[in-house]
Amino acid sequence: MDIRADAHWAWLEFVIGALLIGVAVVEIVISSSPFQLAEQGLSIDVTSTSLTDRASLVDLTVSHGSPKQPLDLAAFALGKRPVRQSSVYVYDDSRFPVADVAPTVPQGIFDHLSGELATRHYESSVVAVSAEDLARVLKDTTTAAGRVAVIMTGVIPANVFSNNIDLLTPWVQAGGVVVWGGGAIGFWSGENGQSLSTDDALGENGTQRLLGSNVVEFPTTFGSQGDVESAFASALDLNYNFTGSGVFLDSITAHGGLDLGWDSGQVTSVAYLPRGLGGFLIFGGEIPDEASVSVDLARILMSGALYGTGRVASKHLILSGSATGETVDWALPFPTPTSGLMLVAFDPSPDALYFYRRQIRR
Amino acid sequence: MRLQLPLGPLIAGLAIRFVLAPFTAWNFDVAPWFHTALSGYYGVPLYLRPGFSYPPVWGYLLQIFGTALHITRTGPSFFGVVDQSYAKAISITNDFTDVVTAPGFNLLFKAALFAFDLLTAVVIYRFVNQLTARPNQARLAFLAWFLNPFVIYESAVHGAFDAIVGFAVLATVILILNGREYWAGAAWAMGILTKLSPVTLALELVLAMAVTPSSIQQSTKLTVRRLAAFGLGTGVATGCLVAPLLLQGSVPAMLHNVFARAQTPITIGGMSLSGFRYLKPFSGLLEWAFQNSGIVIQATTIAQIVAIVLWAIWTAVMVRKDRVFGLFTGSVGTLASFMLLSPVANPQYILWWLPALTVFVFASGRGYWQFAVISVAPVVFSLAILGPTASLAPLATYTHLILPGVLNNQIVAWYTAPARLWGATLADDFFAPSSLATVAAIISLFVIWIRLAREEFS
Repeated sequence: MDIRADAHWAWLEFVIGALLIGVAVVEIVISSSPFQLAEQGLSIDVTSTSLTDRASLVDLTVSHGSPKQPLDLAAFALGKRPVRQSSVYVYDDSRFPVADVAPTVPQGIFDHLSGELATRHYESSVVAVSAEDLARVLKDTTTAAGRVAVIMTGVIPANVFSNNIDLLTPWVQAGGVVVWGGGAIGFWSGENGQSLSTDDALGENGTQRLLGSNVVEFPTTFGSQGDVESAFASALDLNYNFTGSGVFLDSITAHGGLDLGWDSGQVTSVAYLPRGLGGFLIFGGEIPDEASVSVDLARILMSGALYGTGRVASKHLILSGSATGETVDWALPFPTPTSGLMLVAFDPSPDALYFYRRQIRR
Repeated sequence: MRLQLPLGPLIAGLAIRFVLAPFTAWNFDVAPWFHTALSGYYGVPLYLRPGFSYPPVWGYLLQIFGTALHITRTGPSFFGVVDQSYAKAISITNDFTDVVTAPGFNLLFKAALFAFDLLTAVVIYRFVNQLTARPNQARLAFLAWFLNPFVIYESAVHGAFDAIVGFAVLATVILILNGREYWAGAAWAMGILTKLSPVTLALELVLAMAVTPSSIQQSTKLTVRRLAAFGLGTGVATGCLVAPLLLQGSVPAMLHNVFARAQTPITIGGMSLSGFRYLKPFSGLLEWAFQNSGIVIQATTIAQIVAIVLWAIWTAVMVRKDRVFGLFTGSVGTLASFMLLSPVANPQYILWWLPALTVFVFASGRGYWQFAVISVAPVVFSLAILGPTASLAPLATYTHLILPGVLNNQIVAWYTAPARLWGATLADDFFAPSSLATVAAIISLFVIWIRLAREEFS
């Protein structure tokens, strides 16, 4: 095959050049000010409050730049513990086995959670930890308060929890928060470099050692989902609804915990169980998709929901396109405790960045 | 000579694409496009949030769309919604997602893919005419690409961006053959920074430029100049495309997303040699490969390197006899072998080399039936993954012409259905013949080229 010399390819060079330069220049422009981290011009101002032990009234002014701007408001009563944004340690160690989570979840949880928190300017650090690092974090009980350990692998590494070892309980008692996902917590204890076998199953006994008896429903049921949204799930627009290893609602009430998920009969998909000065945040089922779970977890951490008492109110607004700020007069259906309340506002659109949080004291 | 594009097939191809585009999508693959476009909408750097695990070119385009929609004050619902109706399909298949892209967004990002389909068609048309001086044959080649069912499926239904890679590879080869090495390097860099696979052509392209006949007849100086021009074009284009990431400080994040996030236990199958595992007697291979990921990765990587070297030697030998034959068969052979020897090869990988194959088949008049098989069998494979209706999530969510719950049930029913023929599942019954037919067609093409080389050049 011979190439005739009469063809002209300058146009192809022009197309390639235009593509390269055009795409690069536009990307540079849009990743610089004023485009970067543009947040649709949303802002909230608390104009007045009237908080008593009988009623709670909050008046807000909301400014926004987009027509039909959705905005979710949440307000919840705070308990006595001081609210803080905790340092987050995400367990991700590919040498150890996983269960009841998609293969991409262990690393994906860290990537997505750190991304979600970073885009919203989360104040504390988010760090990925190996099994050894996790053990080091848990052994340091003096710094447990203000720390969150995320273990969403369905299996706890054996150097942290096994028949003979339990680094979780003392750490949680000292103020740490363990976030769990992937089946029943404590059921599996995995060894470095080994696939799961029946020897690694601590079973219901493992779960009971961490949470107590009659807290998690056994036998677990893979795939079951909650269909009734709890008040907190509605307020924070939380979507995780797997309940196969869900926590009993009675148990949450008995332990002064929070139902943050979707309920299926007597169990919920997301529960916070206080223990000592800390607690367990349980995602009670399999984790098929790390992205949406990370969004839920980011909202829980950003909002400070774990510091709530359980009394929560919410409003789902669609703001019109008025240029001036819109006022929202909100009478909360519960009195404000002495420790105050948390006001949270966020754009519920997928991937939206806007997140506002303000602690209001009486 | 002024060439008139075949308007009938062009309009028909565009019409088919625009009809299919709005209400179809392979939502597991286009969900990252949705998030990437939204990151442009909200002004978030490309790799700050995970999800886009490719080099940046396609991500830039999506971010530009997102920013444009932000500027025009379009609401974020334009991009799509999260629809919980598909929870069961998600948890059972691990290959579906609750993100459903909206018709307008589907049309927007697929229109960019159509532009590359068309651009590729024009290049094919002009180059086949340049080679054959037969406008009718060039029109046939145009038609074979632009009305190709697999090409249409990938850009208009699936929403895969691999046609951009195919365009870049084709442009690279054609520009080298026309003595335009600088821009060939730029096109090659564009391909690599779209999806890494064209990097496998490095050895072959360098050898081809080094031993091409004109450089032997003239001087070593000219060869060096050619290679330098190619290297400079590659470097300048790479710098151009990486500059935004450098300014954002996102290069480490890109490397993490592109490389680290791909390191999960592997599966085998697809359009690779391991496609025979869909036959019932070999169904246990999947579990074995999953448990022995390290061995599989090591073996396939070694095989791929050997194949790349062998095709480079082939090219170096053949370009001395026929530059077009050497470069085209070498490029298609390298990319197709890389695909065949991958542990798992998605059907859309075929688009990396299908434009170059289209040129070669219609310029040489050899390999028509193989081309036909490669144009149809991967569509069957793609439709069999989650069943023929799985791509209709946008139709279900946005029109309710088919209820989302019904679609969810159909996907689950298809995925869990037992085999009726030779597979371990119903999907395997379709996977096995489509995968094996594609592999056989590719190997048959290799045999044809070897015979052709013997007949013509010995």
